[in-house]
Amino acid sequence: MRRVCIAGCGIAPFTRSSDQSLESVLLHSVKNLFVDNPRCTQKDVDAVLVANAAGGYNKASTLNDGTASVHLQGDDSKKYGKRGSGYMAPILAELAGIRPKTAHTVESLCSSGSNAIVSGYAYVASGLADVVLISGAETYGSLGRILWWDDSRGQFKHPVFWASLFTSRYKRAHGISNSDLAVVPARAFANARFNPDALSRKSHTIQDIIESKNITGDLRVLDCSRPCTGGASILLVSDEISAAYTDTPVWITGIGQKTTSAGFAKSAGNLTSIESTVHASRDALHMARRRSRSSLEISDVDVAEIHDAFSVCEPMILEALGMAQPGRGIQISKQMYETDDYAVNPRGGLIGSGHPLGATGIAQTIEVARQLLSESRCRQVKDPQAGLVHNMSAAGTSSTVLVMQR
Amino acid sequence: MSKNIVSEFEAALHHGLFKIPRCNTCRKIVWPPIEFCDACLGTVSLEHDPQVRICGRIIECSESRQDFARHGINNTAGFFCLVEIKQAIRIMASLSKTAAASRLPGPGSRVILKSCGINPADSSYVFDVEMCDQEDALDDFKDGDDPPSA
Repeated sequence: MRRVCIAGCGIAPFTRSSDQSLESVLLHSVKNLFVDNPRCTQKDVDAVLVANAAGGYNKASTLNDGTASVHLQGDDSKKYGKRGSGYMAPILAELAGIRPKTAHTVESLCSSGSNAIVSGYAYVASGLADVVLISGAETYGSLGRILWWDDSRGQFKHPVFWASLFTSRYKRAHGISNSDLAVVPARAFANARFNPDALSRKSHTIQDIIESKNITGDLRVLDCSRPCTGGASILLVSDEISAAYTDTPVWITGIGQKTTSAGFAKSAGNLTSIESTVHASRDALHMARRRSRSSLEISDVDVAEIHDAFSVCEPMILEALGMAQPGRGIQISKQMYETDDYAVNPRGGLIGSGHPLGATGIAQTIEVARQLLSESRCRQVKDPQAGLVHNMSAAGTSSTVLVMQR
Repeated sequence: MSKNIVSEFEAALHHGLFKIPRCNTCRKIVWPPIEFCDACLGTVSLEHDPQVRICGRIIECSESRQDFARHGINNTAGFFCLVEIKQAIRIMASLSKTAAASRLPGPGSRVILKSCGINPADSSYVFDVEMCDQEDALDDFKDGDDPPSA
């Protein structure tokens, strides 16, 4: 297998805008990628992969009553016209002036972005392509926010309900309070202040978070990442030609993925651990050790972007990755909050940055790449050598972990 | 051609009946309902005994604090819980505050499926459970419905 590196990236800022089409957001981030790396041109790109949680079938605006509808049926399709469309990767290729060998969409709900990166990696590593453009985006009010198939959830299909059950169990199992969990969003919002592409630039104190509106008995509004419009693009190239495109390659050395089910109830177990992340992390580190011929352990990871869709996710993911003992994840979060440590979610995570589903995994990867290149300015971790990306879908029923090194 | 188990299940659910999907070959309960067993790929049939109540245990629960009516959720002031039935079926169900008035629901609490149906607004399944008292539940919990470990 050939080695694969990141040779360019671009972000379309995360906003609450509801008047942008999906293809516009994708194109915006692609434009920024080519501006970021003028050594790459459209004619170099062999493959274009689009990540979108709704498979391209997004609508770009809210309904007339101002609510973010989750349905697009019947007459709605006339109302929104061409704003929602399949075949989005060829559409992006055409709009960006690229004529690739292949162009297709990758959909895996919230982890569409990292799944598209894995697909791009496979194209390059296998020799099917030398240069792959991966572009992920979502528009506000995307259909991909909810897994409609999961009828076991009954009426409680919105993600706030599984997150509430995880939170209730985590607090009960480890004797943790709402105040303890509030350090997660407090740190996320504080970090996002230094991220110019983040949805939120406002800091919130722990007291603000505790006093924010209760959605359920275990979840407040500031515990939740918010859907938004945003895009992110990344360029993957092979080691054989990387020198033509970058003097500072960041290598993807480890990939781990696991799907335990599609439905929340089947994967939930006792709600004490995210099993898919445990497996994905172990496999990613194993691959990184083989690929880099090193003894890399989770403790060697200097910077990580993890999928904090809700406050409770951060400590649970830290534990599943092996960065904390069971029940001790919140202590790590608290310690980072008290010491302004940017080692985890330096860009503000999903809670601070916003969560444009298809873009999230790619934006996380861009952040870790920039950290490894010491380009993250105010939120820079000191001299990182190894980084990790964790992106998951549908209550942790599937996870992707990437290990990246300079 | 096998029967459309999903349609059959939903037709029953629409009339308030919760039928148990079971593999004809290996007898495993198959959830969610689908034509073939995920263990042995045998064909699946639906079982329903009107004399037997559907009982289960709460894995975890929380409480609604917001009006979710605009999302099509009817239970806007009560608990919602993950319930395990026959150690094979897991559903998210609502539990009204009045139904839980005598004691708070929590992990391991025994519940009975009070009603079920399909929400006409978005075709979601609707499950309502109620707490059952210890004596009432004895017979129904002999079928291996051990409480989940916390």
